[in-house]
Amino acid sequence: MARKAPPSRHLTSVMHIRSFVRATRPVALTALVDVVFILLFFFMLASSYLDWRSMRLGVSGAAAGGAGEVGSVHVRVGPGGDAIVGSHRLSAAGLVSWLAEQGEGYRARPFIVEPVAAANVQDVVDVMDALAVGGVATVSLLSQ
Amino acid sequence: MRIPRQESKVASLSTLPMVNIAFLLLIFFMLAGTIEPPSALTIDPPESVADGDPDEGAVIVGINLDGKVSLDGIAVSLTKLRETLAARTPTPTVAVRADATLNASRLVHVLVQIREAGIRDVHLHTIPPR
Repeated sequence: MARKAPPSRHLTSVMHIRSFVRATRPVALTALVDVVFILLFFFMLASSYLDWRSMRLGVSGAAAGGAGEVGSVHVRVGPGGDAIVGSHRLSAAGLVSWLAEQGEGYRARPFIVEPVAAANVQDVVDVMDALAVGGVATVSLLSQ
Repeated sequence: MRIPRQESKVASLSTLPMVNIAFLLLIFFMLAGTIEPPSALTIDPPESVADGDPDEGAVIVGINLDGKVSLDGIAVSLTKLRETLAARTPTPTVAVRADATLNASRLVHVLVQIREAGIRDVHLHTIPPR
């Protein structure tokens, strides 16, 4: 009668290792990476990166119920951001210097900005900035 | 006879660096931007040294280079703009985002419509000089 072979020690140790490995299965990262990429695409598409600032706008003129305020200073804006005050044609920097030469009483008057035909929004904003830097408190746009 | 099992010789590709970069990009986009709804119009805003903070609850009126108008990201006509603004209660603050190269007379025309809707608090949104 053939003797029954003893159980292999190697086989027993492998069985122990196998049960150990089964208890610590590696975690699948696919689902996590999917969610991260979806969030990444959402923020890439939904975000705006412009640093917005705000400036107050007033409107003066016939549509606002008056033909211009009493004692107001009329500033016409030409293309290129030139400001025409009375007979003076000034650049934005020149407007700041010119305002500094006028009295505080002059700067306290309401200023009405009127864009001429070819002036664009940037030109008007440049002049309004110059008026604000020059110390003018009340600036409004003239409506035709 | 036992056939020895051949072990795979292909090395597994680690995805951890890719996940690291994806997380870094996600954190960057979360912190660097502000969530805004998409707008129907493409607007290149004017540059200004004004430093007022934009009112987050303001109604956004956009005007693009062609003079088309949008209200909160939706393209509308001037009449519809005036009617919609007039119907809102309480009277909202309006923030105008106009293209820098738009003819200024068009901007003034839209401002008049906004004023006729009873809105008194109107702001122009700009960006700092580049």
